[in-house]
Amino acid sequence: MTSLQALAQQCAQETHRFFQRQAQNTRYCLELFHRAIVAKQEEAWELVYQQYEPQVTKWVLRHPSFPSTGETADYFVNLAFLRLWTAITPAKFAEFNDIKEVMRYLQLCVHSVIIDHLRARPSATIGFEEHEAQRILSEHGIRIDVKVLNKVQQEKLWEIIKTRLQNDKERFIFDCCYKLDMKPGEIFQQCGDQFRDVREIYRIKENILARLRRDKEIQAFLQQNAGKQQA
Amino acid sequence: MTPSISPHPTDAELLAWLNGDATHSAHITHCPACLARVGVLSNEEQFLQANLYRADCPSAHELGEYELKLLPAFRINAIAAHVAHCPRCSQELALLRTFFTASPLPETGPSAAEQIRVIIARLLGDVRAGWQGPGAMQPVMAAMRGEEHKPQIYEAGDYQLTIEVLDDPINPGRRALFGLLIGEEAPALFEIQLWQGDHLVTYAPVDEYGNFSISDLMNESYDLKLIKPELEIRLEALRL
Repeated sequence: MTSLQALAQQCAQETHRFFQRQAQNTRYCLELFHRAIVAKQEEAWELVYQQYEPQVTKWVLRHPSFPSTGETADYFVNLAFLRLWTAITPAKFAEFNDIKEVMRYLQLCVHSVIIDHLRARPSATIGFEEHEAQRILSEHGIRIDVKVLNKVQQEKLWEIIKTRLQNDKERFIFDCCYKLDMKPGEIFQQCGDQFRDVREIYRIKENILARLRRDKEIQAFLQQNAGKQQA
Repeated sequence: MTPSISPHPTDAELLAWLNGDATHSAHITHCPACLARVGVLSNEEQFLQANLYRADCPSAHELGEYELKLLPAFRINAIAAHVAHCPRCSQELALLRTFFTASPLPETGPSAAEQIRVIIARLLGDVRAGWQGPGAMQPVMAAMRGEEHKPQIYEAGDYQLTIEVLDDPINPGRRALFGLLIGEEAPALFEIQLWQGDHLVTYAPVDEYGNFSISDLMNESYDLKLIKPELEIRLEALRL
């Protein structure tokens, strides 16, 4: 068998030529990735990691959303390689014709792990005024303690809630506010023709929350699955 | 003189205060009952958001595979329909495109495969069968080989290729391949590769005299390629 080290050396030369914008033959790189990802050879994977880690770090640092994550670049570099490892099937890998396509996919892995991180904490997008409201509540000893359900419970919760929304406007406002984290002001700005004013949006939210709060099935579900949580 | 006491805001107004649309701010911040009510509303809002945020959206990775056109048709249609009305996914897609633009990858130009001229080697015969073509060459290892082996002679354009397969003396049960390439240009520019399907099994350099060898091979069929810039000599389905 070809020495992995020799293969990695050839691949390093190819990659260097690639980033120097010189014509290149990428068969060695594809072979190294093939052994790492499709054949799952651990040593090949380590060589891939060693070779591309500096490039992936550059991409993480260059990603427009990286500064708002509050994490280190290393954290996302590791996650990006893990994503590459798990996301590429042999069938998908077979569609890559050259190193550019593999590199593009690796860039996608960088992007998706950063976005996943931000999606997991939508509160990162709340504005100064909301922070101020939370600060005032905290000063008065009012604690916000949110229970996160597991995926199955979340799907069950949504199955129940969507039967409680009474019309298109409610469904639209619920989706915008809770599934897309849009503020009423933002919704009105984008869809002003559907509402008299932003206060109408707040009134719709008020009605939805009141209905869910009174709903015995939802309250029973939450008691069963989320302790003392209320919605 | 005591300040006039305004009525308690509605839940809609408390939600507005919570979202930073400041109304009744003076009342709320000094009214324990309203602050407690805001606490309940805040808990409810954050609970719904924490558990349902982006529940209908494709993952960031699938959205990216959509952008790279790596998804099956049925997912492409579903995601296109979703993105058309989902501002968050549209934003993420725009962000991905910005990221790709800010981190450009070099154009690869014509692929290596497009640049390389491929010549399929044609079997002329074996040395002991009496073929006495130009050069009548034999690999340098020929003296070491047993009588039972027959070096095969191939023609590939301006090149002639001699191949011989032996039992590997160092690795019992394995095979060793020896060869000689003769042609107008320096053979040392070539590299020999053995492939099985799309998998590069092994490779080795060709020396300045045109000799090459690869040992420790399975007794299987391989595609042999002799490659140099812009030229590939291919010998398909070589049985070891």
